[in-house]
Amino acid sequence: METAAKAKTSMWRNRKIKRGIFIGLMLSVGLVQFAVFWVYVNFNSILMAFQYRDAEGLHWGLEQFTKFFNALHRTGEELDIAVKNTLMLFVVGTIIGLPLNLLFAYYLFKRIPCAKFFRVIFFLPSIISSAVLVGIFKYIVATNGPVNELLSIMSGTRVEIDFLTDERMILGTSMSFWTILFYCFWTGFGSNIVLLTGALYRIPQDVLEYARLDGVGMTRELLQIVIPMIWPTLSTLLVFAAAGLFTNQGPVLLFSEGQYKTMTIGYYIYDQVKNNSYEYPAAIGLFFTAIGFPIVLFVRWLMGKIFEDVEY
Amino acid sequence: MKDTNTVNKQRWKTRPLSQRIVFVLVFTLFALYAVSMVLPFVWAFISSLKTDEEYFEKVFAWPKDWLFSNYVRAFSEFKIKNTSMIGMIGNSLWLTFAGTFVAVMTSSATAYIIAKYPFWGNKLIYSIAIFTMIIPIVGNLPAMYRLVMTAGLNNPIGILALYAGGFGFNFIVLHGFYRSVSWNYAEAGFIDGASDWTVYWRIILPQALPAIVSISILSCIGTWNDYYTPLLYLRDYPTLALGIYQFQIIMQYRSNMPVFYCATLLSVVPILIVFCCFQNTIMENTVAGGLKG
Repeated sequence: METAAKAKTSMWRNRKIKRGIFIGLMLSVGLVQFAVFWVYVNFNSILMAFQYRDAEGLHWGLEQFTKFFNALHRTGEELDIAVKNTLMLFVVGTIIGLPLNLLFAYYLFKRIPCAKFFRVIFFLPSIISSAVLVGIFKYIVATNGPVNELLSIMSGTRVEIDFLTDERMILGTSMSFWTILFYCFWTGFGSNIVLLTGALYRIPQDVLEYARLDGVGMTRELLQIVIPMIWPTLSTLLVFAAAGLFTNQGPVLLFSEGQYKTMTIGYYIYDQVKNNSYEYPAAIGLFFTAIGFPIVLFVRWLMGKIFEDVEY
Repeated sequence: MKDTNTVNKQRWKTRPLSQRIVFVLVFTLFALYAVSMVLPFVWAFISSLKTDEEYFEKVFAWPKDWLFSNYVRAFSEFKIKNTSMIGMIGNSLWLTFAGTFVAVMTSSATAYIIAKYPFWGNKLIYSIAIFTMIIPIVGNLPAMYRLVMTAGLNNPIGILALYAGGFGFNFIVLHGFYRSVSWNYAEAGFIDGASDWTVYWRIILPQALPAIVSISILSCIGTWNDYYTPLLYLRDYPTLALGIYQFQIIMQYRSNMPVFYCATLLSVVPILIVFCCFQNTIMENTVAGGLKG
């Protein structure tokens, strides 16, 4: 009896050990990668922000931050432009873009004619490389390209709008960056439409049926039924967009490499690294992470307050 | 695919007038957008059949001769340093398939354990996964770049380490999926003496195939199109996407527009084929798991 019980316990222990090994092995790759490429990298990044190099070598100090704040104050110069452009990117991409994404997904959901075809068209830019899209786009809006040619034909005079390099400021942003903003707007429709369509399809059809029978029009349906019911998806999209506020480089590299007043924060950091400066961009990154994080938390809190989660 | 959206299926005549007006307006808008999206590629195609001189001569003109031979020329003339078009395609294929394989396998393993095996670290790891997706880390590029360079990972094999992450979008989707899979099959397997490993590979993973296929396709598309990672770390092994960007810089010295357009269209074709075949799978299964509503 005793040996049988002992055998059973050791067999159980054996099993537990085997299971433990299994769990450990399965998680090992992901966790090691996480430890190295997330924990170590970010930790090092924070350390680097408080270092600076001079003729004697590496020192600790707040020099990078002083340099950063001084650079910020110089209005009209790179860092200042970068911050303004990055905010515009967010305004166009999320504040204008997300509601439009929802509206378009809604009309597709209402089965506008050829909805399936349009859904594919909207999604296309998301699956084609931006290297390709921007490449073609640049030659289309070039001074000797089809857009200017079309404008010339339509107006009867030679039109040569310099969409890509014009630095004149309109509403606080250069013309060349407005071109980039337009590009982001023009290619940004499909990205969220898939997720939003999924959410729309999950709304119980009978709710919509009753509403229609009650004579609820499209506006009321959208605002009072659909939006509250897909709120979890919507708020997740908004939170992710808020998280991407400062990290979003935009296609600046492909368009102009930051010239012609098209700098963004993300690209500025890349540019610094390209020029072998590491501590300075690390400090800049740390600063924007520090103000970005509370913003994300705030947006998350706000989203929770607007609508209570509907159970279905 | 069963059509579940029947409440919106209405005969045109029975739709209220206000709705019909809105639909006409929106349809026109959508049609204009579709045209604006397709026309550039039509123009790119026509331009790819011209000679370089013809291209700059007149913007709106049909090619004098339809030089389909340009596509053949592209294979010899579309070059970045030592890498030919074939080389770039090869680099793209490797990175796409190996990178996707590594990424999906790692996140599947992580998601499976966290979804099905309650142990002391389970909740912690899940919270970490969510946390890393929400915290907006700006500017870890300097530290990351330094690490990759000093560790010598800037080659096609080493770079796979960057893809072996267990968290992120893939984790969320697979975690949601594994959560919903019934554990009964696994238990039946255990009773029959199967090990945890066998249960994973032979019983549960095959059931997850639809979700795995969808995220793999999305990952493949993303990697095929990615120019940024190769730009940073794989300069000597350019992929097609990176090549297209770099070729424009070369063209500032020696214009070769038709070949450029050939290369861009050639890079888009595989994506379109994949998308046409898997369109429904992609769009149906890409649901951030765990979100209700």
